Amino acid sequence: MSSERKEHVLGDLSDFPVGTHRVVKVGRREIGVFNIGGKLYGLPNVCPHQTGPLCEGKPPLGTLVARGQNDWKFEWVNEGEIVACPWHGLEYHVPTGRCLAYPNITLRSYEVLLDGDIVKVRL
Amino acid sequence: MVGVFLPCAGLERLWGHRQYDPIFEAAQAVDLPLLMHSVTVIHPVFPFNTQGFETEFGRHICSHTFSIMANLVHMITTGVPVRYPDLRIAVTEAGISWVPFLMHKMDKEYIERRREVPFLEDKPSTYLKQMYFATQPVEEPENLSDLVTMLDLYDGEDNTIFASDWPHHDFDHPSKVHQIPFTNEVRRKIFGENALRLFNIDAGGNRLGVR
Repeated sequence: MSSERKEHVLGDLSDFPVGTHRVVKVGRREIGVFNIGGKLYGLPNVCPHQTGPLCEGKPPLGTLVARGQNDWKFEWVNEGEIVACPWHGLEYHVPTGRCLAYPNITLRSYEVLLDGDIVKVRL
Repeated sequence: MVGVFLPCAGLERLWGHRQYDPIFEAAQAVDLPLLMHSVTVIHPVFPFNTQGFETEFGRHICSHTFSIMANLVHMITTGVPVRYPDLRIAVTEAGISWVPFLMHKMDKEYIERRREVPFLEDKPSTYLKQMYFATQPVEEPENLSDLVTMLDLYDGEDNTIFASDWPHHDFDHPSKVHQIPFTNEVRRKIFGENALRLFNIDAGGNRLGVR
């Protein structure tokens, strides 16, 4: 049995305009594909909290943080990079899969590739 | 022993409001712990709308503990334990059985509302567990080993401190806490070592160096 990862075609780049996201199915897997500033990212469409459809919510926004180096003032950061699960609002940083609320949780990231204008995922 | 007493009854603004920051700043700077304590008051706003009770039974159950919970929630909301990481915070006269409840309630809300508390770097229970809890008035379940479980739920071995409240009407005799089937090691911590750490003193009562 080959352990080599396979590439699966997801569509044309025009199906994934900058600033949008959509969920694609590969076999039984649902993958949220995000185009953030021209870079493509893939995350599982399952929130580890209560299995909510993580990537079917609103387009990614930024989020609020408060840090000592800025005198603990509220700051809006990571504009366009934070997806919130539509069920309970748990937030994730799309480029890294990092859960903002729980530092010990990081989602797996799928490798989304561009082959010419064809968008593929490597599984 | 010296600490900074925070009265928690009848406050218009809960502890954690930014107007109190200078107190926390000073306490941290001089290495003094905060000691939170409430009393039974009647004040027609939560958590003191105790005018609805006809008995001291009802008022006394709710006044201390609910006030402490409201103040702690607000302190965690505004990131006091994050903004003042060396501050030691202790709660007195609220018993201990509410601690697991508050941990779990805060952690549940945090899932949905992290953005409202962006000071926090981890779930709220992480910070609650860093506080110290005085036992009095210690709960007295029929099965005293339930209190061992209770402590386990909030990792309370290193932050629970025996308190008597002597000579008040609702004091606890040390024998009651002694009857709880803790290991001797845990007893030693609850009856002394944890308090020494809270007050940063040695067993002779001498203040240790400022951290």
